[in-house]
Amino acid sequence: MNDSGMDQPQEMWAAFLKGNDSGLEKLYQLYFDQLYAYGFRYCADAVFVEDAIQDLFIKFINSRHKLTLPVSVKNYLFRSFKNLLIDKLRAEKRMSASDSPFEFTLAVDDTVMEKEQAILLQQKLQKAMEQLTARQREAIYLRFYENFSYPEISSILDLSPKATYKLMARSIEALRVIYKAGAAIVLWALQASFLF
Amino acid sequence: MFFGHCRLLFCFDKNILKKVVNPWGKKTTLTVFITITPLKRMKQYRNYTVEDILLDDDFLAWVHGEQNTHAQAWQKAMEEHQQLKAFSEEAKSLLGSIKPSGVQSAAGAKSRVWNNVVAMAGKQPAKVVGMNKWWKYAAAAAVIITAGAGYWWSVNRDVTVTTRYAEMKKVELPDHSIVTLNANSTLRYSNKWNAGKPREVWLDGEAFFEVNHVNGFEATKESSRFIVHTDQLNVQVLGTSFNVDNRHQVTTVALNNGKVQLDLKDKERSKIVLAPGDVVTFSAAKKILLNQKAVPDKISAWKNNRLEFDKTPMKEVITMLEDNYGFKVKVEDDEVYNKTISGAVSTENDTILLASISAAINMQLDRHGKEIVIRNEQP
Repeated sequence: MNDSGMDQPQEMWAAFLKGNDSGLEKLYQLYFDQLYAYGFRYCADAVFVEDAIQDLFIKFINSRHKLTLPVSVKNYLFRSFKNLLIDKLRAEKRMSASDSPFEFTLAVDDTVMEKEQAILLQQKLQKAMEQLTARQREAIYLRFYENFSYPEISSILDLSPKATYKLMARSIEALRVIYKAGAAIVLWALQASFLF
Repeated sequence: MFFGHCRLLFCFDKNILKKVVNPWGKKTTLTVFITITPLKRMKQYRNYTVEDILLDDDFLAWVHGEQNTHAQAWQKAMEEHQQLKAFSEEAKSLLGSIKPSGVQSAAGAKSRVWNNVVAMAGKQPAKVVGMNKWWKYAAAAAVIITAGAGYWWSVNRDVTVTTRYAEMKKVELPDHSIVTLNANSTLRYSNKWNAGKPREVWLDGEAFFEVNHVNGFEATKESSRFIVHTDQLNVQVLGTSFNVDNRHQVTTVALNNGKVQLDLKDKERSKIVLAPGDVVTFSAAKKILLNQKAVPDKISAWKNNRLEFDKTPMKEVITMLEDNYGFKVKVEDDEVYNKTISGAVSTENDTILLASISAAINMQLDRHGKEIVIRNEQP
């Protein structure tokens, strides 16, 4: 089959559904790093995450005839991957039914501020992140760093759009505290550069 | 995504509408282009709080640099509300500078996993898992056996090189890589390196590494790896020269050329790959992870008996004086902590070094043996 006209994830997925495996390979190449990083935040075990991605794509090929064209392919990949991760974690008894382990560390790239301020900000951030629940952390990760919309996040987190919005609002409330700290630090840096 | 849009009011151009309405009331098919312009948004930008902005899809579309209606809507809102614009720019730069620490898959994992997918698709799912596991444990066993045998047969002894205050040493490693060890530092390594094992050294202090590529038939995948262990992270070298400073539970790695990978000893075991010019500072204990761009030659200038400062806070300079020269610094005027130094200083002579610092910060550095007292200049 012809590979041309396969620039968009939707087209890649459509080609795959019609029996063209290179469509799936393109999607794999496109999203492997993002899926890997996301999975790693559930379980910091490289072999486990590699296995999970492997299982996910094998499952796609094996159940091709049952699959349909989703509105957002990226969203569909993340949702399927998350479900698989949770099943796998529970099957291997690495996660209890109630516990949701999403964790990530924030790094501060200090090209916009001085090193001392960046250190302060990074420490404040980390502290605030630890105050959030795993779900809140995941919502923030998906919204700010994977750029998913609220309806998409609600489908990944398996929540109603309203509950997702509420969850985000509470996470943002926590982030606001961080932002204030950040703004104060930036202000302080500006003042310091005027004084000296 | 849809929350804001449900509440939009639209205004239609009446003249266009007239053209659409058919005076005879007959059913006709007409293709008419109607421009719809949002008349007024129900969003109360005037009362917008930080939360409102961060929760706004238009704002995030704009931050992510998208070219859609959301981003355009935010652009328009900013033009109409000056306070929104100022805040948005600030929030954008702050959001851009705070990112989850990088997670990278192992080298070759991407193609390996895909090959497995192709090879295993169409088979029983249970069998797939089994095969994969078997392969993994076989590999693990091979590693353990090699490690065990190596340990059993080699008569390896550890070599430890230490430097005193204000002392520097050049060390040649078994593979002819060169390590320049800065003052008050310790380097430990095995005196015999096996072809089937990675080259490993342990560092406490600061050192500059010029790592040799392993060539010839003896080179294996394992022996081409060169690892610097510190208490905070491991540096995996992919052929290169770089500076490692590991003190006070903080490790800083500056890469001059080549490529290295850091394996952080944090909860996530994050991996960071450095490009030349990257300076990464990490501390698990103090929860610090910074990625700065700098001129690496400035950081490793000490190996040429020079120190290069670039708006370096005096606090760092004082720590350096204590760590590398064994001085005990007493600060009588906290004013010193507000100062920074820029420029190059020769380190070959203590007196000149201290005099240069004194002149740069315009304060007095009195030296009594190993003690330095910093005070404001007397009139």
